[in-house]
Amino acid sequence: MDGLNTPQRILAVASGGGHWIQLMRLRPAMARHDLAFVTVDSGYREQAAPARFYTVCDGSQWTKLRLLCMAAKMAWIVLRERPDVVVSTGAAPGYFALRFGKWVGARTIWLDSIANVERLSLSGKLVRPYADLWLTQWEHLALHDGPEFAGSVV
Amino acid sequence: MIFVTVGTQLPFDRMVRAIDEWAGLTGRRDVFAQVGHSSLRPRHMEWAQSLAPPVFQRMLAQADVIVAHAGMGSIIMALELAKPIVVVPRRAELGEHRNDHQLATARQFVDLGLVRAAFDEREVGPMIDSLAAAQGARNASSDRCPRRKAGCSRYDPVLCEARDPREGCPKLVMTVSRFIDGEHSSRRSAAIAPEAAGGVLR
Repeated sequence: MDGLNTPQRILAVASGGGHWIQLMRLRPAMARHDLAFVTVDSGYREQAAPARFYTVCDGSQWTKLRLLCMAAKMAWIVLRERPDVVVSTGAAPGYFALRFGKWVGARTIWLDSIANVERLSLSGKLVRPYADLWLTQWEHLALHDGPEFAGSVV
Repeated sequence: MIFVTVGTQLPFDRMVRAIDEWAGLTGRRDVFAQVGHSSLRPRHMEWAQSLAPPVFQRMLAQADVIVAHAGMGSIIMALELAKPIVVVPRRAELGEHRNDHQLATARQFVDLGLVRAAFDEREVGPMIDSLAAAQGARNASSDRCPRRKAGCSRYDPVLCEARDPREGCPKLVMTVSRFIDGEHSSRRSAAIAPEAAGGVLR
């Protein structure tokens, strides 16, 4: 397949803490493209600049209402941004971003957090039908049908 | 300076208490702890519940040794700054975390030679002592390792041949970059999944 070479519209999504830091380690891959970030903490806005920046509610499988809030806002963001590519290092916000990204025909990348050493994360498992590139950062977790191993952030 | 952090989510009193005691016993006056939303009031070190990001970054940069819970954020930040780091894994049975993945993280990263880990909090103090001493020796003596780069924080000379985290992650960046440019072909078929009805997360 020929390279596209035109700048792509990218939506890059991560929860806070280690998830965000791992997304930042991928930033060089997205540098020349039209970039927007989504996370759960407005404190990361400065680091995201000059890219566009959104926050959504923080939530997990144990906080259903927050997940609803998160999903609703993520849907709005995806429909507004209309990304060509959605990338996420997890967790729940990334699941919604990839899933909704498929509504607008985006190509999607999931990079499971390097913290998930023994098994893939829950969101990493659930996102499988919606991830075109489905990656783990540990070779011993890679399987023939995915997730694939393509290196790690450290 | 020894910089201690419990991460951004939960307090970690077991670790903070152990370090405070060690600081008192050894008479260290150069320890700073970010303790999170905790009721602890350390007596032998300076502390704050939280730090604004620029202040946090500055303290990380100034630290000789970083001591942290075994969270990926803390570990990666230490690696990027080439700072020696001791991690204390949170344990689910003590209510310190939802699960025990920090134990797995810590073991894996010790195996990779990237961190030291105190699985028992009583080990933290002695580990900090030996790391700080090694750092001092590293600074003082001429480096005999032919491949070692300045400021490398690896503990096992054999592992110094591995990639330095400060250089980024070129293999992964290349994979993601090629995918974005439409050049990567995944082993999985890249079929667009039809939106299933329902699908409420359990």
